[in-house]
Amino acid sequence: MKKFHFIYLFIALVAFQSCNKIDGPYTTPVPAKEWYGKRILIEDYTGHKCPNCPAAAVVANDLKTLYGDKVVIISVHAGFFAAPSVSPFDTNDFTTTAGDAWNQFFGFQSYPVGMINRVGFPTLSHKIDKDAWNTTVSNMMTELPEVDITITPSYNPVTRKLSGQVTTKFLKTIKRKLKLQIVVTQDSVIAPQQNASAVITDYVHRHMLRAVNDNWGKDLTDGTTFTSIDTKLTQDMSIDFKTNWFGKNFNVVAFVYDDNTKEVLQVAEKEL
Amino acid sequence: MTKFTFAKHSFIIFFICVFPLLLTAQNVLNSGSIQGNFQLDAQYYQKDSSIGANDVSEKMLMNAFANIIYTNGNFTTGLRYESYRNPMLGFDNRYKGSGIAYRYATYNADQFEITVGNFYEQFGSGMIFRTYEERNLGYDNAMDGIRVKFNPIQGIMLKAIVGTQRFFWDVGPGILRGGDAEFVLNDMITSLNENPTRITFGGSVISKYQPTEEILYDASKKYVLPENVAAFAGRLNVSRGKINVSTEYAYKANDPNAQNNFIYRHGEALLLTASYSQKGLGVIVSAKRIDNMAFKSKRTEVGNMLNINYLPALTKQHAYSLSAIYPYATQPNGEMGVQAEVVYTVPKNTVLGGKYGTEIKLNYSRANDIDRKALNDTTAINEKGTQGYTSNFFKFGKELYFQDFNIEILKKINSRLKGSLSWVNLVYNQAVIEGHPGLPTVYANILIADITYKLTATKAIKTELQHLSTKQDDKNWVMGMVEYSIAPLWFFSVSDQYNYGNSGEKIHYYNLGMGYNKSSSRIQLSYGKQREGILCVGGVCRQVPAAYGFNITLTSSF
Repeated sequence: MKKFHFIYLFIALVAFQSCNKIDGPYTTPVPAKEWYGKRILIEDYTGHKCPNCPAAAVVANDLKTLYGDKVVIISVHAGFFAAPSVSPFDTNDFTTTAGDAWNQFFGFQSYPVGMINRVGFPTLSHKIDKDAWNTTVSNMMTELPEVDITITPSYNPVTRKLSGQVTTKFLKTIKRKLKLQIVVTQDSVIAPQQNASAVITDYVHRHMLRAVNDNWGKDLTDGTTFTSIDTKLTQDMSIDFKTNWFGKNFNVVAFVYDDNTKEVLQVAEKEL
Repeated sequence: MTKFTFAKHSFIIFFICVFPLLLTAQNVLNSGSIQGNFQLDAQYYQKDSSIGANDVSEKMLMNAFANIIYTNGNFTTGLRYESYRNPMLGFDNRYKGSGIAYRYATYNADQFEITVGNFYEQFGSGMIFRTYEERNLGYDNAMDGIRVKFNPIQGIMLKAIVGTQRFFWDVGPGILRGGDAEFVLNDMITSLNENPTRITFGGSVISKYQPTEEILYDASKKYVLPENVAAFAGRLNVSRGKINVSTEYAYKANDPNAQNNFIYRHGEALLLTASYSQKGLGVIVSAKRIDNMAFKSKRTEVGNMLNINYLPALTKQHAYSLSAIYPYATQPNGEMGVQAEVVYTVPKNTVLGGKYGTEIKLNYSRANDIDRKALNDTTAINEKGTQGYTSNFFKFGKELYFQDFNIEILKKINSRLKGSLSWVNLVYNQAVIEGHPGLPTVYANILIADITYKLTATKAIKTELQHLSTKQDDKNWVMGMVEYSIAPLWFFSVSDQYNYGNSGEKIHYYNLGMGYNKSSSRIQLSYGKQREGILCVGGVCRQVPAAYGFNITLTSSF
């Protein structure tokens, strides 16, 4: 009988010892990481009436500051909080057909929420809360890329038409059904935003999704045969800019994703 | 790990456990018993833009489960098969799929009870550890691991657990280790066996291990995170005759997480309950203080999943639809609450009691923020990466979260007619409870009349009339319901909720329903509109979206 008491005493002792007290400092510098060329896409699902969404934008932009071009952000205005309604949210509609389609497909119901390289779909964890973006990005940052992307854009401000090419280079021989998604984003759009209980009338909306080449991109490979290393596949792009997209700071974002898992293999961004 | 591998492994593990038993034990099925239950909820969705109800690509969505439990002597094994094809609106779509979500085997030997696989468990009132399932909320934080219960002598119960928690079709990243000891003094000491004062006390500890991870404080710094977070609790219950008093205090070590904005302050909670009961009178008074007690087995989780502990809501859970419009959700980051309830039955054959007596229920509850003071002049209250704040343990914070005063009078008029009248006065801090800063506090009055008239021994008509008045939120509601029942087989109902007084479109939320019972099975059908709202059970809530369509519920047990 005594040995059983010993078991419980042992468990209690382990449990009591199982506590790490942090006396400070509570933060430490982020160590530099090896990087092998795989950039990370953060999709921030947001809305101008979403009171907690500015906090998520801060996290995304902190990551952009930390990792620079290795991180690409798309802020997707979609769902209930993005819909225009009463003043001051009656004049701007930042939703897009692509954003609405993605929002519905990936099943977002509460905001802010995000996806990092769309990893985790469809089983579990593609919906990532802002507080977990750091860890997820950090873990993915050291992955090896399978493809690389080069964007060569050409924009005519008179016709407000974007053209050019996106080239995907295969860095290893793979057999996957891939799609290329081309996206236009606009940075630093000034418009009202709910922030906690207050409205910021001149809020700076970052990395806003404006348009896509197609809601789900265009086929790159069909996945029935292997595509050899060093293969380069080039697609033309053509996207019209709407006349109510005021200002500048437009960017072209291109990402290659696996059509079966929706996982983003590579992303690139080019300023116009 | 994906849901498919988890489900597959669950199945394999279950059969590894059970199949050899089936092979080696002769007539095992004959000497044992199997029981179980089944439930299916499905809805066919129609679009109704006037209430914000969407149709769905699948047209119909379904949640279903079945429990199958086999018992043979001191051995029990069971499983629960769940199917979400696809999850009904309002339930997290990460449940999508089918599989065995819960499986376990338990045996009793000597003074031990050993469980392997999934289990639900609670230490004390649950303030440091409680796992449970609440299907209406889509909530399940079942453990997957090992549990040992040990009863060394009469009056002492020891428990130890190790495992992980359910996270949809997977498990959370945190490993929980813990133990609980409960001592029933009157059972332990022979001379106290017959003593009218009964004393029970206990203590528990739980520790979560989650590897550290890189969570940024800002663009250049990350948090230093504790990998092991422990929580402790002690409890005491004393009862004598008509009086019962119980209390529990819990302490949690530093646990920076997404819910508390990554502050390093300790957490603590205190729960006090006293009750008195005699024939015709019951009184219960409760108080609690919760400070920084959000405790999950994943530090970045902010939803309802992966809760390690349970923080009870000291508020009445209303059953009528309009009084349940504004339910209270426990605020784990800090709240102080009190509740008092008196149930008094006016004796028969008195002026107020009449021939059958009159039952009167009075209930009052209130929840405020806790007192919080900034650490210094340059640090905001609850600033991330700090100790957060200081707080006077016994002082209420200024912000009122919730207040509910309600009175219900239940009266049987004669052998055919009975009814109740209720009045509910609510103060509901929408901004805090729903997490939508900027929304106004709702002040609402609700009146409810519930009358049942027995036509024959088996047939009855029940009517409900409810009215909610408020100047905030969606303004006023009125609701009526008539239900005709033919016991024990059938019921038919028609109801309508109507929202008025606001500037929007006037909408009737009508509903037609019927049900059929046959021994242990029941089928219920309904068609109509459901308003958007919040459903809470025990202080845990989920958003319920607006819906329009045909609904079916089937339950059965054997």
